[in-house]
Amino acid sequence: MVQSFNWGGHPTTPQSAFPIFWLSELNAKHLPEGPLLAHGNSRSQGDVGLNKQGTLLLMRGCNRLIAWDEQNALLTAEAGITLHEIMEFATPRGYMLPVVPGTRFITLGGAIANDVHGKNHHAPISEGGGSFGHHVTTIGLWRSDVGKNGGFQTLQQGDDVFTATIGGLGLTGVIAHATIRLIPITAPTLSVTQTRLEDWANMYNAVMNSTAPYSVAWLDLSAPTSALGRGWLEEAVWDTNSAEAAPAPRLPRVGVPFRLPFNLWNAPVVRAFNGFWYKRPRAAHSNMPYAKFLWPLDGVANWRNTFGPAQFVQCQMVVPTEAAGTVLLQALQMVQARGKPTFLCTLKRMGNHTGAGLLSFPREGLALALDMVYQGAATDALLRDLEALVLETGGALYPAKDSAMSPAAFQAMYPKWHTLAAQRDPRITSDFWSRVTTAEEKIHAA
Amino acid sequence: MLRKSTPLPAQTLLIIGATSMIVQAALRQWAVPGARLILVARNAAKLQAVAQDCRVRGAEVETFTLADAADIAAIEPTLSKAWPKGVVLDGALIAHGDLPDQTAVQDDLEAIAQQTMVNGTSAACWLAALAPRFIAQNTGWVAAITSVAAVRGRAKMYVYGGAKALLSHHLEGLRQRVHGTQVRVVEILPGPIFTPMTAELGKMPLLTTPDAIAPRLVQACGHGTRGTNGKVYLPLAWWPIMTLLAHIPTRIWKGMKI
Repeated sequence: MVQSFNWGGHPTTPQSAFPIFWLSELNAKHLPEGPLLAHGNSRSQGDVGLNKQGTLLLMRGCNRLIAWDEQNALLTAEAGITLHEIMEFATPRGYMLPVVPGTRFITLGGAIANDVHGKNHHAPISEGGGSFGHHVTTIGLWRSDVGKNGGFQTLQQGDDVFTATIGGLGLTGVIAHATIRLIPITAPTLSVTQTRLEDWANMYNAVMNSTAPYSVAWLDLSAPTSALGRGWLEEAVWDTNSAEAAPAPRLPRVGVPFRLPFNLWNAPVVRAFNGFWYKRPRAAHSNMPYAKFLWPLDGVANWRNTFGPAQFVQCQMVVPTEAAGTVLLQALQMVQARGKPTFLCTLKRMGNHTGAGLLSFPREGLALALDMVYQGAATDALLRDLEALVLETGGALYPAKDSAMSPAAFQAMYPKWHTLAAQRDPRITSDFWSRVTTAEEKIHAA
Repeated sequence: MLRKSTPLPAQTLLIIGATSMIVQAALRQWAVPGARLILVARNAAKLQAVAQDCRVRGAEVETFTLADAADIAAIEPTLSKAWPKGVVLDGALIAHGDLPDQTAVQDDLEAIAQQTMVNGTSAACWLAALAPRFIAQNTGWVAAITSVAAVRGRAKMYVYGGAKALLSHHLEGLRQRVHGTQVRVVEILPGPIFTPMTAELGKMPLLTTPDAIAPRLVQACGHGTRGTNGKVYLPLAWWPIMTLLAHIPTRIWKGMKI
């Protein structure tokens, strides 16, 4: 079963968990005492999905389908269903999720609570772009303060609490079910163009000028300083030449079934792997099965077990386009200068869409994600310095991955947090929320 | 066991105890367009949620509620409604059960009788009601969920294990009885699975989820003559483990803290 409730293992604290198997169990008489927080499939990093002062309500048992309106492509399901399970249902029927993040093993509730985004954020919302919340039409929310023992409310797009719940980190109540609009899936494969770029200037230009509906860049942080920013840009468009139907994604056949007794990803290995990954020749044009392009890391189950006892953290930032060219390079230089092995670094173009929720992370600019092994105070210091860099530009850090954001930074990056605070379910809190709202909440709440 | 790549056709199935989490995971594969699912359970609201999921997946679903799993007198009347004459059933699964707290029941005579009734006798009676109908139609599979706990008596689990062993014995006998016909008898022996039944029990060896065992369960039940006609341990690792444990001599077993 679930050993740690976040993907990277940091922070780790003893945590109580209570499984919910039926939505009817969301009732104060059935639930444990104390603060609560709904929890999905433990793919968030940091403490956004943790609640050490209280109990996590494990929602995976509530994963049933409720309705399918094929005419309007509207699927209603319990919030504990994973995006993988949704795809298993939708793909054979010719549909898919418009927005998917880097892993499909997250729950519907988690996708909404973090307002996740994918490799197509910059595409028009009508064509499946934007963030997950842009494609949600209804949310069934359980709140502890409705009725005597808590109760359900149905929220529609446009309602205040609906907007607070998108990207609302699970704080407005337990997301019980939701209705999402799917899009047709027209081919089993994407035509993928892969371009090697030798430095930041080339990478930045390529990303900014890309017109493909899906694009993501991988950066080689083992590069020599002059070539920092080098990597590969992958751009994809649906392969309309294919006459076959798209298959449902399958569970990975390869996995790491137990935690290694050591961390495979030490500095020399990270450097060697990144160098190899950069230099490895790739076909400039190829057809790739859609699951391989959208979710490359899902191909190896439990890859985090290769980190052994080590913990890892992520810093994901979005910086407005006009500052991104210089600031992101500074961020890369800062990370490299500290010598902290960054085993994965990706860059995505984000579109100019109004956030679907009050606290939505996805916004106009370039998003950079840095995954690094956690090395205590040194990593915390680096994360704080990165935070300062981002704060200056008016950008934001992504709560779903965060373990280090300061209250001041959070409150500046997400000025509507007061409104969310006012709509928070009184029984619900998370370690992230406690950390970033601390004393300031008491001052500003009035 | 079937190869995973062979998809099963849509089936007409009867399931007793359809609100079980293991059953729900299996239903995600059984509920396809063209399938007809007859679901029996005690809780009408939960049964509706399960039925709704199956309907969204394209199956036709009928539901029947049974007030009490231990009500033997209700079995034949319920079966006559759920399985009307002339309907050919591809398969039936007996999946109801309840896991008691061993230390709480082991000195309580009424509780032991009740547990044995729910997990053992009532399931054996359902089997007895289904058997002649399957023999008459000379096709299909009858399956029941027992447990690895049924294989050997342990101090920590013998009330539950004993009841499941009763069911296991009936399944084995029935399998011999139908030998030579086209009917198969499938016994599913899960190890610890994380469900409402086991949620309070803390750490258990090889604990896994209903989703992890559902594909093998569905393949083992199969369709027609394709599928298992015997015991299926889920996950598979329990087969060598239980085979080993079953052969430990009594003089050693009696002293084991297992």
